[in-house]
Amino acid sequence: MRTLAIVAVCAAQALVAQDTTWTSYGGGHNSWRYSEISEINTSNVAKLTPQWIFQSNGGRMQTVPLVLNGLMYATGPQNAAFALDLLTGKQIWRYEKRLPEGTMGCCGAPNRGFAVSGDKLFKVNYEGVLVALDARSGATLWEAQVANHKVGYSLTVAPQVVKDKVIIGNAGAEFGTRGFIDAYSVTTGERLWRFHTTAGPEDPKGMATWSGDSWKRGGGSAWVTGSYDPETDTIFWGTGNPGPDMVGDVREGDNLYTCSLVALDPNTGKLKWHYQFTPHDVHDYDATEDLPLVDVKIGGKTVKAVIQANRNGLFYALDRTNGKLLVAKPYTKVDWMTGMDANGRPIMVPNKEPKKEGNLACPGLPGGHNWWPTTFSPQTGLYYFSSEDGCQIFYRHDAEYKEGQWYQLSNPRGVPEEPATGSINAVDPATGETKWRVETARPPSGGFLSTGGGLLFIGDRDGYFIAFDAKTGKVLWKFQTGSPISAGAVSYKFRGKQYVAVAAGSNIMTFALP
Amino acid sequence: MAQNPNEPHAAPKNPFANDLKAIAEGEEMYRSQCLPCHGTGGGRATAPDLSRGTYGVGDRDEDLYRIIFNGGRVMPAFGGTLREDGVWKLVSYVRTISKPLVEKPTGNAAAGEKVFWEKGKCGQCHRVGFKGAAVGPELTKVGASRSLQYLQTALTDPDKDLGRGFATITVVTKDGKKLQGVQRGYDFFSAQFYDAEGNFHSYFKSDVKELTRAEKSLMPNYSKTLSPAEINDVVTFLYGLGRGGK
Repeated sequence: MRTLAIVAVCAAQALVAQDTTWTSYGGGHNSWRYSEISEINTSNVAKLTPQWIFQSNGGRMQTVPLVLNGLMYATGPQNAAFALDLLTGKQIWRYEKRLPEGTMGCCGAPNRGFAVSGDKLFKVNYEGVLVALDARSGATLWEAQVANHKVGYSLTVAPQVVKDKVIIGNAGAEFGTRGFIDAYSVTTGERLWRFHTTAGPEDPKGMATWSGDSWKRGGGSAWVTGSYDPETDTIFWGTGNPGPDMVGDVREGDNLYTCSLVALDPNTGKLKWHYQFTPHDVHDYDATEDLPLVDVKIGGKTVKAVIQANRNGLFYALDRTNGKLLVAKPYTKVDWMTGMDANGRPIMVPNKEPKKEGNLACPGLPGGHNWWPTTFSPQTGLYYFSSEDGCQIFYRHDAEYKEGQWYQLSNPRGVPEEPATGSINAVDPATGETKWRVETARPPSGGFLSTGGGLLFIGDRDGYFIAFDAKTGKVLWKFQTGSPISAGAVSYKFRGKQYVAVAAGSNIMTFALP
Repeated sequence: MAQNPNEPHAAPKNPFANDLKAIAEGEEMYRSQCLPCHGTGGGRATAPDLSRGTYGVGDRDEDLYRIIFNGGRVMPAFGGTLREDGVWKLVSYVRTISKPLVEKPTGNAAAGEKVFWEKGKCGQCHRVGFKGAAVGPELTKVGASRSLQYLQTALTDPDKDLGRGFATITVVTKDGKKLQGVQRGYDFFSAQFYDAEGNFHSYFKSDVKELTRAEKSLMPNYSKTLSPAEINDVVTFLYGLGRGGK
């Protein structure tokens, strides 16, 4: 009897030991969004079946669910969050905090998910507060006031835990705010440093890239989670458009560090290096897209790179030890630049700014590739991302800056008779070459995940969750979820079985083999 | 508890009607939330023209409040983000951009109605009230959101401002049968459409020989089959729909 009990305990432990977690927005510090589990693979994915659906009854989710402790932790818009039982999808606890009166902001009040450290979960609330929750109960452990929503700041980002710090960036560059990347103590919520994404008096050289005091309203929000390289102890984070958005008359100069990648020391928040993808942006070409850390072979040598499919239509690879440009190659139609000069600065096409009568630019305001989650598969060596392919006409309208009010001075529209199309792109990070490309009816927007089973999962705006052969781009499986997918998918092993989970609309769905 | 923006929300009177400060705040909201689809006036197919002073959802402040707060078939709900006060302020602003209607149609609405149903066979694709088919855009209240010029152009150059979702789908089945109709759905894998007889079709691309979509209207150019006077009569009939005319 006793022996049997011991055997049973060992078996249970063995099963648990096989289980895997998903503990960050990017699926690890390197932002690969790759799971090495191969139980679901190219030969059996056609049999993939829904296991459970959690209906949050809220707004459309952008959350990347975290998976650990037998639970799934997900956030929704409007300051909601949930812990779900991995076995049944049942809600174990729910967190909600009403938005304060008069909260404004761009694009609804979305939220991209939790970060975790030990028993603490971290999420941002839209109105400018960072909260730590007890992972067991959802109870609030601390709240940190990050920014004032009344002047136009908002928070949507999934935080990133780097050692003993929680790293976040702001949203709200459309309101003439001044962007930042912050670090908070995991234990107390005390702010440890702030890096301003528009250079001010603390950085005279950077400040000189702004006319007058325009850096004060210079935007550069940092609304998507970055990456972290433990080896060089560096945080990589992308920054958004300068303010006023899309009209640059009152902010002459390059407008550092907007539309840039900034490499920061996590201990101090000091800038190690930067690369500006779009100097003096006038088309809302945010550089906030994913920043996977990938080692690439160039000229027989392995280079530690950081890569990005930028909203401006180009794929980039940079040396992540010094910011040197390695690769810059268009993956969609680009008409605002003609090439790179010797210093790795784009050669800009003049007269591309928005005009009263309208002015065409490619890509349009949404990109290119936008913030939508991407994935790098070490198995295929390819980087996968979606793109909106087309142009827009940028119409200019003028307005003075007023605190807390919309400061976006162009109203781009699609080109009549030429609706934008979409594509899924598989790019070789060492060259920027597109290895395969699948055109879609509309731009796919989320769900990206690659796995050791040779699969690429994506979600689209029509609600399809799709599995491709990651090598060839062939469709192997599809499921109509009934709602647009904008979040990234995750994969994990629970009780020895592989699952794939994704948020579709206001629901979370899980899939497994029968 | 957070407000559920999907829940229908009853609306009392506008507390900010004609309030200048509220109107200014409403203008800011309009620029960020409404302008991308509704534009600054003139009307586009993607969203109704709000500068006309008469609206498909009803003309009272409460009607505008309800559609902004709860959303519509295509329009998202803004109640959760803007809240009660914000939505009222937006309504107050929208009121200020509407111009009084000065257009006077010159045709004969009764004659136009007859042409619409008989010679033009417009009811084969369009619905007005309880009559006609729902293949193309519904026209029951079209006069409330479109100008005379817009309606005139729609009859003589149907491709010019093709409403979203009214493209032409063509399918060639594996046994060589060709089907064509007005788009009801189109995605990476499939298309749904109504043919000219009002029959519904749905196909996966992988199940047919050919499936294509063209940004073209299946509607004929009526300048070829109707006289200018007849077109003017039809325009006059349509212009009266949803604005106290029939």
